[in-house]
Amino acid sequence: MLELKNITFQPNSSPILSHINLTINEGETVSIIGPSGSGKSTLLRLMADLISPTDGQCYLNGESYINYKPEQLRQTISYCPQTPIIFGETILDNVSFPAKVRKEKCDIKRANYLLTAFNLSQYDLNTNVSRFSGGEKQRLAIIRQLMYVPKFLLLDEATSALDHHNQQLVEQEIFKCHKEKGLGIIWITHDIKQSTRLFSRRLTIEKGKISNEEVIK
Amino acid sequence: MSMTSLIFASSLLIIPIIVSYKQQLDLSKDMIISVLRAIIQLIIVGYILTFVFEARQPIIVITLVFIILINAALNTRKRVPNAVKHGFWISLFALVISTSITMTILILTGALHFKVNEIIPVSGMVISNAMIAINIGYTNLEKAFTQQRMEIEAKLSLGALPHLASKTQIQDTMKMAVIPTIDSAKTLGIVALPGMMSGLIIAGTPPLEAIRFQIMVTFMLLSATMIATMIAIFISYKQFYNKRHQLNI
Ligand SMILES: Nc1ncnc2c1ncn2[C@@H]1O[C@H](COP(=O)(O)OP(=O)(O)OP(=O)(O)O)[C@@H](O)[C@H]1O
Ligand SMILES: [Mg+2]
Repeated sequence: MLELKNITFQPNSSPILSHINLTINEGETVSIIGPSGSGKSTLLRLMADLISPTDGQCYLNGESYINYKPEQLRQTISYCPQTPIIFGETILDNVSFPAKVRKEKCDIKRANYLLTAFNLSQYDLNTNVSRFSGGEKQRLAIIRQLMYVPKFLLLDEATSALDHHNQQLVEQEIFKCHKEKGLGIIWITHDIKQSTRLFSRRLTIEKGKISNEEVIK
Repeated sequence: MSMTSLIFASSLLIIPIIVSYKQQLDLSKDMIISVLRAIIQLIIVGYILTFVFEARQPIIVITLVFIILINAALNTRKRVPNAVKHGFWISLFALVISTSITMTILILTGALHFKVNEIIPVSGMVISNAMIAINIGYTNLEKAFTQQRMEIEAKLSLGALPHLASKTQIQDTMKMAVIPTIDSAKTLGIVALPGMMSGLIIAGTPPLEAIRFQIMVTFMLLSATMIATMIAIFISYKQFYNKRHQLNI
């Protein structure tokens, strides 16, 4: 369970998020919508412990974030940034990074499975990624995030550069992890249809506050 | 070389000053100040060295080396990244360790004698190279962390520790800092006849002996710059992170 209690983030004079209260259960699927600049990414970065609130605290399973090691927390609640970032030179450099973090061997079978599921099977692990298109980078970044399935996956407009078909492939695979492994999903999107189609709850953020909360199914 | 010929030689400075003025490089003032500084500093050092040149007392030798070290560390302060505190002390530490390791090895192996006229010129060269490497390191570290902060954060969000998250940036920074020393070693003799070697030859030392000295100095420079940058970078990169392993820039 993920809880945000009275969270305010105010790096300068005006707050970017103010007095956010939010509880997300294990395995829940939540979409976040709201205008540009309203604080959606900031909210997810707070949940991923990439920044700390200036006031209030986040809790995982009733324990304050402060009591977790940052690395342990981020492997449990994993944030996929808004701009897809590619590591190193090859696909392997990217998909093997989560294994490197855990000092384990890269699960090549899973990597190939995900590449196929995300419609990237025409490439192999040694393919150079420097000329990847925006949408290919976006898919590779999500694959990297799914090499180990976390408890909560925080997606920041993860399919913004994808056509309808590829968007559905990505959704299918992510929601498969939800069904089979109890992955909790928190997904920022500007696509209203996407937000009603898939999720059990929808939050609207406006001017740093949760202005609306709807239960969808 | 007489004093008058030196004064005539100073007319060489007119060229860069004119170029700087014409091209609006805005360097004239900097150049004049640096030349004046160089003259004053060299005259003072010249007098000091004349007095202590044959000294062997450890205290004199060590004091002089320490003065060089402190000046070098002071000279790195401008390049210390904003996020890094105690830059002077980090640089001083890096310089002290790198200089003492290399100098000690050379003294113990008998390649160098513990005399002012050997220790001071050699340590001056080593420290100045290490200082430049540290400065390049600082500049690039700051650049790497600000320009590639998204990559670092993406790695942190996968649960990487700071060292792994910024490994590429640290490696690149280290490389950039040491490459000038490696490159100049590559061209030794072909492009550059280094200052000390030329000096020895002009002063009448047989070329082969001067070369032996130069080879030793090249070894020293390579290992000292590597040690110094490694220490300075590894201490300072940590300060880009806070206790929660978040980037604080
Ligand atoms: N550390 C920070 N310091 C100052 N301002 C910040 C900081 N982080 C974010 N902001 C500002 O906070 C506001 C909200 O940013 P955020 O990225 O959360 O918006 P968003 O809702 O994700 O927008 P978009 O839909 O365009 O991605 C923006 O105006 C941004 O400039
Ligand atoms: Mg955003």
